[in-house]
Amino acid sequence: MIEDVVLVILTPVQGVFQRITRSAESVLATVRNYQYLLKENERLTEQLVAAATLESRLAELRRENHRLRQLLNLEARSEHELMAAEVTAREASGWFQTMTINRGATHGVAPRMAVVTSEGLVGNVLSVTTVSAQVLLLTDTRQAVSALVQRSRDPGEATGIVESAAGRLGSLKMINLPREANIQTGDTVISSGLGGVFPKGLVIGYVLETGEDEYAIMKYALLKPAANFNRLEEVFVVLTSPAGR
Amino acid sequence: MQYLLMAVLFTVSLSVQGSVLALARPGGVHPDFLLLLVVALALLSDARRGAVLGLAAGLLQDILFSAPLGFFGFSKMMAGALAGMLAREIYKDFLPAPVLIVTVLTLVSEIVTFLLMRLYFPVAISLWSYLSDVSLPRMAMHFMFMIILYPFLYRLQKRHLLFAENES
Repeated sequence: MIEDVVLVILTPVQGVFQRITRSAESVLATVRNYQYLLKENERLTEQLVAAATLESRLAELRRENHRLRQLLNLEARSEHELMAAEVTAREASGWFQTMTINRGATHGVAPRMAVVTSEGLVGNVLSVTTVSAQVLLLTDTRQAVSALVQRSRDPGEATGIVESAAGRLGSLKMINLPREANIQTGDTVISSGLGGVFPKGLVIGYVLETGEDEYAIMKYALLKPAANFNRLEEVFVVLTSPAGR
Repeated sequence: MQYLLMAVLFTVSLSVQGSVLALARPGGVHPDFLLLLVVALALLSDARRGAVLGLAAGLLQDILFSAPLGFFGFSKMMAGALAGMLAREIYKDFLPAPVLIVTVLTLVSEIVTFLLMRLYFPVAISLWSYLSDVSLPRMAMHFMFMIILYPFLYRLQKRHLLFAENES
């Protein structure tokens, strides 16, 4: 009887004390483990950062692998003798569109040689040092390429000059097209080989729109460049063309 | 030692400008570290040295990036000379002065570059558009970077590592 009363009273009190004790123990354990947990947290954070870095590096390697496979594929199917090169610098002011590659005279690179990617024509070599070369990109205002429409491939009918489109950064403009030129949106424009700088058949870009010039004498076409000028990392220098230029 | 340090500063600036920023974000607006360096050095020196440094840096940029010879050379020489002329008028340890000067000289340099460009090449963009889209962001970048660069160069000059005492 007495035991029952004591237990009825004591049990809840004991329960409260037990909970307090457990909480206190938990707090003390946390305090005791604080340094350990801190170190553990630090270690896990480091592992997380390392894993993230590794993942990022892996993604980068995948992309590089993809690019290199594309380039190798281009080298295999190209009828020209190509030399791979890496882009080491680009003109930063934005006024001129040039870049530096890590291949020069000692590697057989010479001025005027065409530079391409797996997607299409990039530009041509402007100047060469022993270990590097300057490339004038298609999007530079000083660049001009004789071109024709691949679909017709008629040098008389749809031949023009491709140059940078003033006012439309990164776009190209094909000018001096005859009024009767058979050209339409989506057409592929390739180098014509005239002028002797660019070998014939290199893809320059795709027609976005066509129109007549201000005097309505000639036609023009706005082109989307085949090569992505914002992601030029590896390129190929066209050392020789089949014609043995 | 002074020439070596100068060569290192210009090499690092050119590399950051051409191989880091321009490759990371082609077509974007980037700070002109060479201009920053020329103006900062000229402010720690004089007009003659500023002009020579500006011309040398600009010509280097012309050659390395295949720009028409003298294109950047002229604008940087002018910026260097102007900064050097102002060098006598400012307290060299008063940071706001170089920060404001580089901002103004960036604007001047941008206008000169634009006019030079329009003189020789077809430029579709108007001066106003160029100033608002390119020059203003660049001026803001130069304002920020000068806060870091100038005190660093100032400390180097206090140890006479950049120019000899009688020249500064």
